[in-house]
Amino acid sequence: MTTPTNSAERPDLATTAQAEPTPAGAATDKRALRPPWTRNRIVGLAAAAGAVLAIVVSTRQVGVDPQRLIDGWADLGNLLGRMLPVEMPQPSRVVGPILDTLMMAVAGTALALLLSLPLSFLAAANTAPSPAVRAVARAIILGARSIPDLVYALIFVRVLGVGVLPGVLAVAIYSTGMIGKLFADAIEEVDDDVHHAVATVGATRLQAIMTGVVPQVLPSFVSTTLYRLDMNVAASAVLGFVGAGGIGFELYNTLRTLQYQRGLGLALIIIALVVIVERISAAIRASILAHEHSARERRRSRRPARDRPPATGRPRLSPPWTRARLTRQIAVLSAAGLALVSFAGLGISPGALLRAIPELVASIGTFLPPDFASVRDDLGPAIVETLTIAVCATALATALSLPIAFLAARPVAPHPVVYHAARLVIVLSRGLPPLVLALIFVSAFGLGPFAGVIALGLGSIGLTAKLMADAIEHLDPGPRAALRSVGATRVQQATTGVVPQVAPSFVATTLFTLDSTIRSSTIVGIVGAGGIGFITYQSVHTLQFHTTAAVLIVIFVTVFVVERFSDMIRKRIL
Amino acid sequence: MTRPTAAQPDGTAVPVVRVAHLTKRFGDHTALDDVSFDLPRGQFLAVIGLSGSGKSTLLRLLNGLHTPSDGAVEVLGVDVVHARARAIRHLRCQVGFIFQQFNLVGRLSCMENVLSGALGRLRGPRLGVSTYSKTLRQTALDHLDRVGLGHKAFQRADTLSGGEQQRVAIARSLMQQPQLLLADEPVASLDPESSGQVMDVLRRICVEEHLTVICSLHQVDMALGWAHRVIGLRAGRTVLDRPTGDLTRPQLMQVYQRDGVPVAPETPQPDEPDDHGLAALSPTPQQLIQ
Repeated sequence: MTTPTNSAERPDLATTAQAEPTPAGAATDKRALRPPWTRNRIVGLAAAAGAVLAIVVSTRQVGVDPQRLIDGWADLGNLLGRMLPVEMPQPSRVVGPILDTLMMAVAGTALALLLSLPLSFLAAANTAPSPAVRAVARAIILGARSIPDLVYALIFVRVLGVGVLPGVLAVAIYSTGMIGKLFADAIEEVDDDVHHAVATVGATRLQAIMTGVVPQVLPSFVSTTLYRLDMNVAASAVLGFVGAGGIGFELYNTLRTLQYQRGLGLALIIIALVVIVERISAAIRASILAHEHSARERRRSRRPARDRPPATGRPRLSPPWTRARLTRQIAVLSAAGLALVSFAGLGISPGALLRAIPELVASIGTFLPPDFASVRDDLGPAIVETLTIAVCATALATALSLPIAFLAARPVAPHPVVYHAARLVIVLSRGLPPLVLALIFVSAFGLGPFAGVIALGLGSIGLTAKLMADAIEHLDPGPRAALRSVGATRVQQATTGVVPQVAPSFVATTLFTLDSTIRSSTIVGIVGAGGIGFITYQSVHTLQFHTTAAVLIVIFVTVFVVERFSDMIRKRIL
Repeated sequence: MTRPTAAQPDGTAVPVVRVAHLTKRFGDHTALDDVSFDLPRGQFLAVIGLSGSGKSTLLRLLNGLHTPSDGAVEVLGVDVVHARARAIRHLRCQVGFIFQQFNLVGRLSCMENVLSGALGRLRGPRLGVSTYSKTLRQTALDHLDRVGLGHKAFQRADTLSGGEQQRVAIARSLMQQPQLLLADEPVASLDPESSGQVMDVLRRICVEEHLTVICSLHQVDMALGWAHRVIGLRAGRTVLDRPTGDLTRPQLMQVYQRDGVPVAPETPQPDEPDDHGLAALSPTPQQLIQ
């Protein structure tokens, strides 16, 4: 049987083969046995070297040395010992603050939703009336999310007085920046053909947006808002640290007065609160996704919807009351009801909100002009410390998350028990706000950036490991099956079949973690865990608002630059 | 290494595969019904039949992924039905498997994909071409050259065409130093030209390495053109088992009859339940009990 070689059959192969002869035998040793130095490879290695350098410099700066870690863990053990047995607080003393915390999260998210809906349409390239408007809207959104919510709360409490109102406003403004960006991105991803089709019938710009864009982005808007809501519960739980209401006030006082047993009880309550809301929000998001998916399936198979009502003689002029429509209506009404109840429960009337705005606007005057001179010597080191905390915490979180992610990914986990244990670690880490961890670690390790690094590192596992584990679970199982068939062990399957496939998404996740830790590292200083937060706190408390303005500008620029940097690299690799 | 390109290899030695009265039932459905055949070393066997005729079931019974309801399976001298889990794993290291969907690690270079075929013999995790020994790298390049892709060794696997990816997958299974190659619809998702190239490569290795190949196929012409021997399955029964030398196309087409009515050989059906052939390669509970 004559089997012509492939290169002879295919001219393109034949020419390449001639251009690069790869003869066997004597010339074998001359063949390339290592990958060539392509541009991508060089850039990748340079980036990795840069990251390693940044981590090394940062750890030196923070003063992480093995001896300190060992001593610190012993202290932490002592601290944990003092936390036991847990003392659960009297229900009558915490039910109020717990409800306040939940209502602050709901009210703040609702306000943010109201603010970001118009903003996002003005900020999206395909719906903005003009590039100038778009630039302004984008700038507002960006500005709103570049200052952490706790810093807003710190300032608002000074201007408006202690209470829940400054907390709600802080959550609302920061969340506007966060969900406004996601909304605008979702609008920009909309299929423009539909939007144009509506426009061709002579619809006005607003009509085209309402009919052509809104229905398409609605599911993603709802799930973004729900996701934000559960993040805001964690955020509201610590707003009390600066006097902005909620359970954080109780926790702060308890830990400050060294009542560790009761402190652990309160921390457990906060974890439970965050986890419960997270579960509910995740369940609703999943059911929305499932609904969207089944609608798409029906469309493809041209099967009529299951809950289509029987045809009646008279044509209907309004949509039928199917179960899906009824559920939707009830959900919308109860969400609106929940928001109203929250405002009422917190005692925030529309009048109070409206009165607060001019007060805040008027207070801007007291911040101007920013005074850099008074903190000239402190600002530089403080912001460097903030950055090094963020880099070290990100490195720590990534290092801890890598193994956890592999154990928490169903197809790779060695055993269901291990899988559930790893998922529990993730949930616990998500449930504890970084500031609470920072307060605890300051007690264990003493004041300074080291406590901040450990707190943010452990606190970020929830985010980092979860994103990584999900990336592993979404992988095509084919290559892993093939490696199993050549007799590779579990570990070999993971290193060869999984690691290269998830590498880009892991890098993106790490940058995302850096994005999040840089924000937290500007506030951990409030409890003495290093960074620029201490200066912020001092300047607000001593009413040196001109200094505060200077610090805010520095925080803004830092967060902005880090976010741009991580965005840029993420876009490149994904 | 160059052996005479005999149409019929020597059948003197112990058969590589021995199947006797093999029956597999899934509930009420009989997927394979009393199938028997011996496969001598170096033979290229094509298994043809409609979807659901039992082709995939047969391949999975051969590497112990399914346990038969009745009958015996012996592969490379190992009694697959009664072997312990460890022995089955050892056997799988010697049996190469080619998937319909190639299952390469897309972001790794072709070279590293081929090298990963040696993992069964190596200890510890590997990542990066340089973590494999120089000898292995030379062997991997040799295998890539044999499938005509030596010049693409350091290109990412997911930048290759389907046919090229399947040839890399074949090179990977050669890295296992297999004695038996099982190919489950290896060309079902490829265009005719690439299919021809892949079948060429399979046939060439079979002859040069004196390797035994079992390949399930949809296309009658592929079976006639490249195999030494064809087994036709219809509803789990062997309806044809002959060398290709004295087989004509009409005879072969008779396999595709349903209740006496000829049916056109179908086009490949990617929707066929496909868990990548070996999605659950770890031993089944039944095997562990035995």
